[in-house]
Amino acid sequence: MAALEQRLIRPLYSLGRYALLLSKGFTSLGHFSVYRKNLIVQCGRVGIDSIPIVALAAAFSGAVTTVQTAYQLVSPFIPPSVIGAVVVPSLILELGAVVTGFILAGRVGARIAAELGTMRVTEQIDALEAMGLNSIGYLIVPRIMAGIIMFPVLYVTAVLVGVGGGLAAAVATDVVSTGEFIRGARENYLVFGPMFGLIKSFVFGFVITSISCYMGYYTEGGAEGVGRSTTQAAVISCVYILLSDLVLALVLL
Amino acid sequence: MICVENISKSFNGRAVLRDVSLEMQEGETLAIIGRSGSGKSVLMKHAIGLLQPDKGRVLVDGIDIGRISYRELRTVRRQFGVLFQGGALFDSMSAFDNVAFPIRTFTDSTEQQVRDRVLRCLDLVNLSDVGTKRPSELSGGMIKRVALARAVALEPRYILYDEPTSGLDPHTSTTINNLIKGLADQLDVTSIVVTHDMRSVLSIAHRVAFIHRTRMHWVGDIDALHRSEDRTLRAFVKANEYAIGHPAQAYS
Amino acid sequence: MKYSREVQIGGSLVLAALLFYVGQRFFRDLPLFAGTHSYITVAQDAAGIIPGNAVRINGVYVGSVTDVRINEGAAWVGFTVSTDVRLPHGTTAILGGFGFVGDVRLDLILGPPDTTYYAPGDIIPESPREDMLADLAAYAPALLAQLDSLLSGASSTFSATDALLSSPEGELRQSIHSVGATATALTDLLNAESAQIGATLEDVRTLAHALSALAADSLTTTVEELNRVIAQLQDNLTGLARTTAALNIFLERINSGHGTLGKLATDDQLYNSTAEAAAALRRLLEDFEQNPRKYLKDIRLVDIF
Ligand SMILES: Nc1ncnc2c1ncn2[C@@H]1O[C@H](COP(=O)(O)OP(=O)(O)O)[C@@H](O)[C@H]1O
Ligand SMILES: [Mg+2]
Repeated sequence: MAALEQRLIRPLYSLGRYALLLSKGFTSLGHFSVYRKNLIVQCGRVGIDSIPIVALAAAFSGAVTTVQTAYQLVSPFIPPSVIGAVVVPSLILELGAVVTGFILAGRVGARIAAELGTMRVTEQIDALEAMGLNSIGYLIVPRIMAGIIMFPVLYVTAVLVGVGGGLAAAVATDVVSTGEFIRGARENYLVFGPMFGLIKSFVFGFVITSISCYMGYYTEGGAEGVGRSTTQAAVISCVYILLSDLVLALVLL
Repeated sequence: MICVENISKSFNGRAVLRDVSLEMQEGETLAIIGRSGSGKSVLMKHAIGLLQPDKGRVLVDGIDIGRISYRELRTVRRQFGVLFQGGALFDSMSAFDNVAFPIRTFTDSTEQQVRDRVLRCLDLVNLSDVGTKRPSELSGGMIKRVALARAVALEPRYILYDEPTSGLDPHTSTTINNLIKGLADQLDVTSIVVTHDMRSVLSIAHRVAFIHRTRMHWVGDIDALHRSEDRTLRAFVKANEYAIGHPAQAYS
Repeated sequence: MKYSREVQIGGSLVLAALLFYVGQRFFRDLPLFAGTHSYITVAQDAAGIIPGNAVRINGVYVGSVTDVRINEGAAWVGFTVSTDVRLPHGTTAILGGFGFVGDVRLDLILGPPDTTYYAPGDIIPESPREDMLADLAAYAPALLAQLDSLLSGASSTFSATDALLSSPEGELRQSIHSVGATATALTDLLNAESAQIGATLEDVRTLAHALSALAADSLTTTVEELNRVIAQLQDNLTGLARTTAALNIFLERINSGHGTLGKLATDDQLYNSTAEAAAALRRLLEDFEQNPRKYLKDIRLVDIF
């Protein structure tokens, strides 16, 4: 009975606390000037500093998708432009956002959880509160905003670099010419695709940062607790990226 | 005036405070003593609403801080300066910026004014050359002193000290004790000092509250402490006197 | 530099927005900085077209499909075309393509160069389906031949009648016998022709019906045109029939001896009505002779051949 209660109540409790955290953060914001500097710092960390790793991952996923598509599909009966027609939409619709999401979950999510977790267990959050500051607004809002603002930048980067990587792989392995690749991409181009990817990237940016903030903000139990929050932030962010990916696909496509 | 009325608090089903009441007079320095883990810090955090009691209430200047909005609570909190146990310096900022933080956040001072004020506060705690250093580059004593400088930067009416001298060498401890005393005398602030350092208690406190086994075991002034026949209290005081000179043990 | 981080972030945002825009247009194969106009076409069968599919003219990408939905039982396909491409009236759209990799597309067949163009937001008619055209192609020569023979037959009849009516009295009496023969020939001809006329009309109607049943919206105008022509033709043929009837009466009277030419000359009413009919005939005849295909010319289908 107690176990059942725990099973049922615990998720509801967490969801409620998560919602409260967000509403508390966004409703009593106070003056923007207090957060501006923080926002810039976070945008830099979430966005600019993540560009190299995102670009690297995107280049490889583009290349791998190309090589695998070539391996699976190309035969004398199928035009090589199919590779462009498969790789580019995959990057735009799915890989660009999801690969970026996973990387950010590991890189940014873990970092946020570790930062906030440490601040929690060393009473820095209490110190902010004790000064009369809205610690949620001060710490969490800039991080979530940074996620929402900068994730699309990373998405665009990922797609462009991914297409570049795919094209490079295609040309390097000599399965399709640049022209054919682009023709395929154009013929199978979906107008809503980039919009969909962009919407995804906003959602993922929010999901990763808000979950990581939640995990970090409510860290308990010293250094060990920080470690736990950090891992959980990355893992749970990934799970919710996949979930929201599915939900968005169902709702928007 | 801060009034703690019959508060009880438990974490995960384990009671930490039971029916604790305490009243602080304006301008006095009150020491809260008790064994490590007895709930001193928990009690202190209730005074500024960082923790909410399961039962009972906390009044600050007659306002029940459990019943006001978050916005109002934050206004109430601005009258407090808090020195946390581990200093709680923001490790993303230099020592200087830590002290400057409340000034920049809550006043419209120019950068020059901020500078003057920060340097004055750092001077107060005998630190004038640490400004650019990060908390991770500072020793425990320095951290506490920077944190103290930060706590008093906005000249609060109430200052809460959580173990201000634990883990410090006797010399630094004395400095800090003098500082607390000096602040209390100069600024007419009401101070709450959570500690188990009896030497510190004896040199700075007007009154003492002793928490034992989740309850407010004994409350009285320093004279009464000397005269008290309470065996638990006497045992605690005695044990502490032996510990003096062994700062490592004194940390809780 | 104090604001370097801000500059980096702002720069990356602007750059990303720019790249997003440019990339999107690149893959849509649109001119990078030109605008687009939107049009609509309405099709019975959208052939699985979806937003993003290419719009082409003579195989050149000019835009893309933006929106496909069902409206009043037909597929409404919205698409954009870059502003530098203008669509003259007479432009039609074909939906389809060979869809192995989703290569469905919308092809535009430009109308004849014209001074008038479709305005953005207009509905571009769907091109007639190819099988429909094939039907017409097979059928039209026969239809035209029939109409031709009908008209030339009528034409000679009318010339004869006209000559008869406009000849001087004396000559008329003299050639009364030959008139009888001519009249018989005329009647025969008219009888034969009227059957043919009926058949022709029936054929045209069937065809029109078949067309409108197949009709995509684009065909409506053509069918309407056809109907109008048929109606006109029918009017003329009714006139022809009436005239024929009057001529028959006239000839009968002459033949039976009741109606002498003198009587014809004295009977104003009869003479007038005959003259009137003759005048109508003459007008009709002149019309036919001047532009033998006037009545068909409006039918665009005829132009196709
Ligand atoms: N946020 C918390 N969650 C759970 N338990 C806590 C929390 N804060 C304090 N405790 C527990 O309450 C007890 C009293 O803690 P504290 O007030 O820090 O002791 P001290 O008197 O040494 O300051 C300890 O056993 C501690 O584990
Ligand atoms: Mg404590």
